[in-house]
Amino acid sequence: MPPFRDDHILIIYPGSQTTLAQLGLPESFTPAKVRIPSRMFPGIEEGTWTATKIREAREGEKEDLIAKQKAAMGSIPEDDEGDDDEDDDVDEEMDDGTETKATSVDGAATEGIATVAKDTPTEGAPPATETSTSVPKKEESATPKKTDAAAVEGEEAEVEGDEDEDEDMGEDGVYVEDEDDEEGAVWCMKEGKVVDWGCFFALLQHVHETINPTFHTPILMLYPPNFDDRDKELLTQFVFEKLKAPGFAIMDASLAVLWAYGVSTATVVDVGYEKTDITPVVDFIVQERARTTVSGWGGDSMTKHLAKLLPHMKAEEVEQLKRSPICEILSSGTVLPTAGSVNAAIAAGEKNRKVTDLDNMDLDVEDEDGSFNVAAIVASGKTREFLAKKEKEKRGEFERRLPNREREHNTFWLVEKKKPGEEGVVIIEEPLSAVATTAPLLPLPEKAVEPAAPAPAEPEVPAAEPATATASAAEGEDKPITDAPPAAPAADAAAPAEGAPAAPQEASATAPAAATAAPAEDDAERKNKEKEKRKEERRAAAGGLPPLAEDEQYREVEVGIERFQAAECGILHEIADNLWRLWQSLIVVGNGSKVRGFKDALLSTIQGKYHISPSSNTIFTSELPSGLSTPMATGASTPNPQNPMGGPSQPNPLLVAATTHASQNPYMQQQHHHNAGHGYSQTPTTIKYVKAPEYFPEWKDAGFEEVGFLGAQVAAKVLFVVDQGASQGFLTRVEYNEGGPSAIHNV
Amino acid sequence: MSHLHQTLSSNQAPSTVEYGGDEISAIVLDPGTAWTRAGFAGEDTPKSVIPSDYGVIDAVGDEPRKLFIGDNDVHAIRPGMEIRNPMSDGIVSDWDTAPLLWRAAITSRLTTTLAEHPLLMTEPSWNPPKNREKTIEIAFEDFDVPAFYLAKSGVCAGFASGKATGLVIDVGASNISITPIHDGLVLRKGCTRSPLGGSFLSDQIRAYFASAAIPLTAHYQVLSKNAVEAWKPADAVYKTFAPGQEPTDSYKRFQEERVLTEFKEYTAQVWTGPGPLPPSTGAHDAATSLLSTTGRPFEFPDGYNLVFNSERHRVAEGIFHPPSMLTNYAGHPDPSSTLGLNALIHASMKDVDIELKQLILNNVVITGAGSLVYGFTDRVNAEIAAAFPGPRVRVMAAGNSVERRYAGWLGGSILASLGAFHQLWISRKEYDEHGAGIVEKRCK
Repeated sequence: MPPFRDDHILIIYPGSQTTLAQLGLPESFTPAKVRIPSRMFPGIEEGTWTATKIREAREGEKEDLIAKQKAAMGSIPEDDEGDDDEDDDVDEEMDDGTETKATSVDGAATEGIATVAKDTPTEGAPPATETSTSVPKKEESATPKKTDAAAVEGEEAEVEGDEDEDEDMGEDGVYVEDEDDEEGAVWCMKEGKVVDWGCFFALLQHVHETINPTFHTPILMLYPPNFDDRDKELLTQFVFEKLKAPGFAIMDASLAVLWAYGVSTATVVDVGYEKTDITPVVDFIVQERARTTVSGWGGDSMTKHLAKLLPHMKAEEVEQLKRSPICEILSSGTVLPTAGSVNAAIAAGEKNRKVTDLDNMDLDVEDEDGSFNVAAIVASGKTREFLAKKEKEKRGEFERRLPNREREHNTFWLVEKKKPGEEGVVIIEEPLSAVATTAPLLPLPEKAVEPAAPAPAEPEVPAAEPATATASAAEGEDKPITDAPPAAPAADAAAPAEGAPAAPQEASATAPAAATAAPAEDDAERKNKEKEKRKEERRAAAGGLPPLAEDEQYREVEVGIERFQAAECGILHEIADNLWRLWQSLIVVGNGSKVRGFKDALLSTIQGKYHISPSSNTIFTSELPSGLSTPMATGASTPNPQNPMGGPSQPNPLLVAATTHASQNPYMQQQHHHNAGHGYSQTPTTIKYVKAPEYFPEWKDAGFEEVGFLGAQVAAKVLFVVDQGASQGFLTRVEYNEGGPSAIHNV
Repeated sequence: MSHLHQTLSSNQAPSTVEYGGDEISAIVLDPGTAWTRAGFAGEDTPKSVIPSDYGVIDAVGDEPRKLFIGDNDVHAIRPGMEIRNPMSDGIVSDWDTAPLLWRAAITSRLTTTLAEHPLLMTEPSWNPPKNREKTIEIAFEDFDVPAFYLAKSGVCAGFASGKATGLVIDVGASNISITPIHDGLVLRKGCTRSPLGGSFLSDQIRAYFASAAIPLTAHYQVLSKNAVEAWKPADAVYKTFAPGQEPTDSYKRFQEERVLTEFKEYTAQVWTGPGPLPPSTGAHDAATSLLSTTGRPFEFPDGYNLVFNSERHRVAEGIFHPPSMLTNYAGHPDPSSTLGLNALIHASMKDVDIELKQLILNNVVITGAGSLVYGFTDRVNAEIAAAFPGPRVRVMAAGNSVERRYAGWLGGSILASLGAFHQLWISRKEYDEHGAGIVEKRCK
């Protein structure tokens, strides 16, 4: 068997929500390059699957589409080639009714890839387009590349942007690929179990085709703990017979986490979407008996709880709130901030700030004031309101500088899809009361609006009016924001070039006049703009904003203290209780745990509840407990001089090991000896997290929630490249031909 | 070729299997009072271990009765959920629920296709014929298995320690059973048991707490705790329940049981002798002076903690010396008529043929999770040595706690994976032909 090459190895990590994949092992291991939502749409034909929804065009949509396509063909021939190909593909598939089931799955997948291929040049973020169509999880990496491309391709994107629909004019009617429509999607996994194998295989096929690996690509797949032997056999069969892989290995996802952390013993807590897996691993052996899956408790339960607390927000909005940095789980006992505490904090902080920040600050405010046309305000007869608003803004500015946990309200950027066919309207009218009822709102400082309204500065007073007017319709919390935040990370050089196309693209929607103003910027204005950009940059950096796809926009939404209560649905206790004595060393992974403060809160919950403090022991050896000056008559409670370090009070390692479930080999017993050392028999006396690996810088930025993928990379390197099958770490095609699917159990 | 082939090719008998194909491994199910264990034959630990206790919310009006099985479900707090157990004295008493429990144990982790795997189950030696027939019926009618066998757990436990002949002392949850085996067969006459198992020990500890006014809390009642000094009242935040939302008493008891288990593991200890634990005589406690160096602390879920001295020996003494058991609770065994462990061994050996006696005493096997209480094996060793003086008496207990806990299952796993065992399976065809009565003929 010739050795496999690093850059040929394909790793797939299917999950209930997102499937990760990557081809090739880079020099320094990086987070997964391909992220695809784990769902497929049933195709037109029975038993076929497509990666994007194909539906019949709605009434009225049809003519538009046909016309649009014709126009597109005429105007941009270069770009249209891709479209044509795509259409042909679709045509073939749709028209060829005699296709067998198997091939039509292939067809569906090829079509999927065609979509990606087509999207690539226009959007500049190849796989991310797929991801962004549904819930955009986290589109890491790719940022600089993408924004650059977006800047260059801005104009093109403008034309193409909203037209992510490709139509097919067969006899049966007009079909469109609707990337926004999630309805009817089949999520092939639920709680770590495959619920629809047809769909699951189609997904794998789709992943495989998207990556389009070579013939010499071995596959390493991670599987969630709920896979049983039969599932693994099905998987093996599929990989060898459909994907034609030359080598295949599967690995338990929690084991991969240990590979990543480089430890041999730990308890892995994987907080998923609708479940949490708890897996104790001792010496790289998964303790099957002791592993549990807490079904129904995962990231989603926090979202649901938040949704209950904020009944006016839409599901996607809540989801985004949960993912935003302002959603934080405070350690128990922290008093939730109230208006009073905020004021106190502001007052306390103001002194310092006065010294250091005030000049800067004043300047800022002044600048902002300066950018307002006083005459317009006076003319509108809203002077008082304006002043009041200003005052509040100032307060808001102070408040903004407080850390999240001390603020009563905080805002986050909501990424929202523009609704197709609603081009002229960018502001999504959300009634003030929606959020206000749950959280009394502070109007946003002008900053939030600035990106939208920088252009209207001096020259075009009347033109600026509608912009502010529309903005004030949504007054306070729902401010339309242009592309400025995502563009912020772009190089300074790109700024002017980027500013121009970006402004017409988005701002044209809000304030048409502003668009015309934009090209005619004078120097002062540009300076002003740059300043804002820098400010934005700071905020964006602090907020860790994901890059936007071109059909998305930011909206700032403010949320009250509800944001701290995501975990109050009991998820922490649920997990803690299920950990039940498996806490020698913990690793928490899974995207559900990404919520800020989750890990710390979990640890403190466990500690608060189960940690055995050594206090009584030390008291006992050093002095009599104050309440026990005289021994009782029975003598039962006579404090005995004893050496707690001595043998007799050691825990019985057998017993401890037996009943802690997790530990049943001598290795673990040593651990117990070690940890329960000082004569105290009950465990746990230490509960701690395992330190995350530090030698992969890319992962440091991305967070360690998906660290299993890193472990898979390490393992793939070892299995396929270093080891080359010497210790039968993977199954080769030859072995498969001999042994059939069940040969996978020998690996 | 397959896994099975590789490991068994040398000693595999010509395949007479009727369930078709040797690639499918059998499932071994070992239902006990506290835990139900299931796994594939040939593996060294059961993959699926679920509590035999289950939660149930009884039918109200149109709502059907709801069952909650498995570690997650049974420990979750639900108003009105009662905790019950389908076993009593080691054998099934609730035939409605036990099969559901077994099915859950298998399907949760092992396989969802019961019809593809032969099933080997274990049973205690005192399982009545009615129960055995019921078991095979469920296996073939309900689970639809291709082949079935019912093995004695005592024999299996002997196999797990590599003994076909010996005296198996199994300390289970509901009782302690003594099974003399010879050549893989149970010597029925010598089988004895007493109800002084793990649950008895828990009850003793609970009774002791009650008598000493030590408050017992369960983990679910506590939200967080602060460290307090020994003997100081607890300083903890408790969970509050809205009226009507409180968990039931049986749930509370079940959860308290977990704390008692912890106490058994960390603090309780068997008095190693020689002789029974000296009685407590008040101020000048002989036991206290003897035990003066072995005080051990225990912290309750709410942070309340204290140091136990002779009491932690006293609670376990009832197993060996029933008259010294605590009797301040309802349902305790009769202290005067119940046999202690040493009397039990004696009674068992009395009925064993004289020529087998030496052979059997040479292979005394201690198993069961209850035997993991600190000092237990030492005490048994001492008792046996005193009762049967002679150089050839040998007591062994697996050092590995898993082997001790799951000895019955492990023996079943070994048995079912043996090539020679293949001819022992009762196939579906045989069952269809002879009916449930076949179990009496084939599973001795």
